[in-house]
Amino acid sequence: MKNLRILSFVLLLGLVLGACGGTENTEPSEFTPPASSQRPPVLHLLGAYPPTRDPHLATDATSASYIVEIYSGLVTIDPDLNIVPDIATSWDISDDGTVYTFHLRDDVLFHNGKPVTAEDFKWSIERACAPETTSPVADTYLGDILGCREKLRGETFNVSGVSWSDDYTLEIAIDAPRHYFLAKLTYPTAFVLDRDNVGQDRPNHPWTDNPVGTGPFRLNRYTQGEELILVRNTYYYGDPMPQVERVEFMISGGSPMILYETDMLDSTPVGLQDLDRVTDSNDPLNAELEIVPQLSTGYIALNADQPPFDDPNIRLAFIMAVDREKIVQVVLQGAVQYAPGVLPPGMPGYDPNVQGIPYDPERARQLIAESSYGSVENLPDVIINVSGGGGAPPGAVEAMLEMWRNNLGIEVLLQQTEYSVFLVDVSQRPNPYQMFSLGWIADYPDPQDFLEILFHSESLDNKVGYNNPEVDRLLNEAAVENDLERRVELYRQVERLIIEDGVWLTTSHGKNYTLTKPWVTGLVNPPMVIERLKYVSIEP
Amino acid sequence: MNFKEVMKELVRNRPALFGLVIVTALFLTGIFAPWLAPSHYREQNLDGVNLSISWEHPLGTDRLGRDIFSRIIWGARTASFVVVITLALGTPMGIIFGAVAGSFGGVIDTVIMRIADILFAFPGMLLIFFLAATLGPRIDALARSTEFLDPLVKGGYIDYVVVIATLALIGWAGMARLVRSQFLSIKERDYIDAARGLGASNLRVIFQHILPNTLSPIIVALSMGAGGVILSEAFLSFLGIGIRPPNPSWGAMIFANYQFWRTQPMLVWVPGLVIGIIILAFNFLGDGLNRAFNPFSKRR
Repeated sequence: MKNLRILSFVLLLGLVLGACGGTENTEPSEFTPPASSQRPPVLHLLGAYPPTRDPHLATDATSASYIVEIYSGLVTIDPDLNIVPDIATSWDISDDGTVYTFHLRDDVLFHNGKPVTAEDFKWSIERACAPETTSPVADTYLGDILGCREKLRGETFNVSGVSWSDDYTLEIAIDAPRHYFLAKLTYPTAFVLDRDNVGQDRPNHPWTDNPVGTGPFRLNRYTQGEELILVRNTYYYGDPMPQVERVEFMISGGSPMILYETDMLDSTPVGLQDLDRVTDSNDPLNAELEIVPQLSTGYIALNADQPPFDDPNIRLAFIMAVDREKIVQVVLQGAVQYAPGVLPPGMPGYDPNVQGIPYDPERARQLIAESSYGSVENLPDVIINVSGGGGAPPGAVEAMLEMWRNNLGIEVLLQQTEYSVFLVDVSQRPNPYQMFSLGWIADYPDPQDFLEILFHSESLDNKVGYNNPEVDRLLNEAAVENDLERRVELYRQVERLIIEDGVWLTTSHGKNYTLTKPWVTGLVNPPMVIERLKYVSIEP
Repeated sequence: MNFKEVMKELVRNRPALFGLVIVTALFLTGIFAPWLAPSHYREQNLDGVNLSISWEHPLGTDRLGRDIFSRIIWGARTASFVVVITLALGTPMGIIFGAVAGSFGGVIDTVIMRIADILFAFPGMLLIFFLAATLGPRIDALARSTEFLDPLVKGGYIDYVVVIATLALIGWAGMARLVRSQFLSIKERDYIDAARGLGASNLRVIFQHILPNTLSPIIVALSMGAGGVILSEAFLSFLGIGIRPPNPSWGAMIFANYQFWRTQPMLVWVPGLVIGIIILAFNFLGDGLNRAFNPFSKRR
């Protein structure tokens, strides 16, 4: 599903950036009631700026983390990462595995009190696939549905694979039996929207300012650069009912640790700078710390569509010139796990024996000599693009720049681009960036989510111009393979081929370090983005 | 007033002497940075990160193992370069506009001084911040698309262009005001009438008779202004719209490390102190120059 700013999970760069100008914003909160008095059922969390609030357009984890609370779909993922019923109570799958019949709950209301019917789902899927919606992800997550790709190309108005027989029975037909199809429906692009709401764009006020969803929370207020406030949806159909009245995300910045220590945040991620302190078992904060490995991989993409990375030798040379284990140990303080390969530990198909490309500057220089460019002088200028605005680039990238300079004699230039512009740029085909730094966090626990979505030559989320017919063949075979062991074996082969082709300089698998106040119960820190706020309660 | 007398006055004034020494040291350090610094500003050593003070690293190392002492020295080069070029661009602009406004008056005067007033109407830092943030990307894009400017981008010098352009664009107004007021008062003096009576042309009056007499306030203003330029550069670099890494800048050094102030306060304190001392030195020097040029005002 989601692109992930690779630094957000340990460095908090984006979150802390606002701190330079924003310290005065915290003034009203000095009146937060002291801990001794009755604590209101309000949860205070640190938020980040969402690049989009339209579920059908979301391509990043930050946007999704709000969307999954406001909207919902047929199925969802529970905290144990199982695919579970949501608006659909049950479903039947035809014998050939291509027709899904969903039985919907009849008590689901939109935030405005209107009942949700199967027709709303059909409308929503057609809206996601409409060319004018310009969803960058509809092809990826809904493309298996018959008629979806035709609609995306503007060839038809109707998505023929979606139909309903009565208000609460929805039928979805897909092109082939695909093991992971149900999981794809947990992605926000498959969420149900209210058609009356979506039409209500006013100048400077897109409909997402007053979203009507079906999720456990409603959007109360969003002020760019300040705060995002969710309130409990009293019409919510699911279990459990949300218990906190409000969830207030602070987007204005400030020092998260200080805000947490002064009880202005109920939970906060911990940045590298405070890691030593909170992991020290003698520190009182240590008892409030939870460390959760993420189903994510941080990488530097070496875009095969752009010279000089159109030559695999150059790609491998750039990877071999970087001592990734050392960067993880020293610059990232060992707070994340070194990633030799693509799949993170915990993901089905993860291979603990995977051999990454070794650090070998000698061989790297040799590869450049063997490449079609022949020598460093013949290479075009190389620019690495990092999301963010000015200031210090991430330490890991700074360390890499120095390694390329020392080990290869290549001066790689750094360019920083604002995150939402960055996301639009990398979703172009061909992607204009030669190299860029990004991460990927699982949408659902299936290796297809990493390997096919990111590396199949026909996938729109293949941001690196990767095209290996052998990989495509194996991926197509794995997609319709029903024998689980055989599937895993196929995906492991695919991963090895991808590593050898060197389009991804993988760096790390993320880990979330989160502090949570003792009076907050039920706040899960999942290894990927799932709805979680409805489980939270606050002791008065 | 000749040079010797001014120097004598300066040396007698202790804070001004301190200022002079520090400012001289700054420029010398800037010029000789490559020879003075033990290592290059971007040289990393991942086997020696976060080291504390030692003979090898007099101020320790940062989290990429870079020698802080060397980066401070290289930062002096950035600071002195920005100060010199900014003032070299902004001062002549200010003098010319101020001289034109002061000697011709009328519509030209009104237009120039109203533009200056507009610049003064904004809080200084805010305007600098605004200009750097909006001009920066445009200058950057322009340089990238222009072939002969492209090396500036590749060499990482475009940040310097942005900072200097911003500061010079704003800096001229104060100088113009100062020079204009000097012109207005001097052009009423008897010796100017005498020169005109002898048939001196406008240009001759301006360059030969008025300008030389405005020199001392200009020099004082320059010294005072230099501190402001250093602070502005540090401020812009701290916000990430000035000199950007890996180029060395004290402001950027503070930004890169401020989150670590609890665990490694040196990384923030050292560049911060250096900036403070330099600004103080420029102000002391300006003050001392003022007294040296106007000996009668020194016992206030």
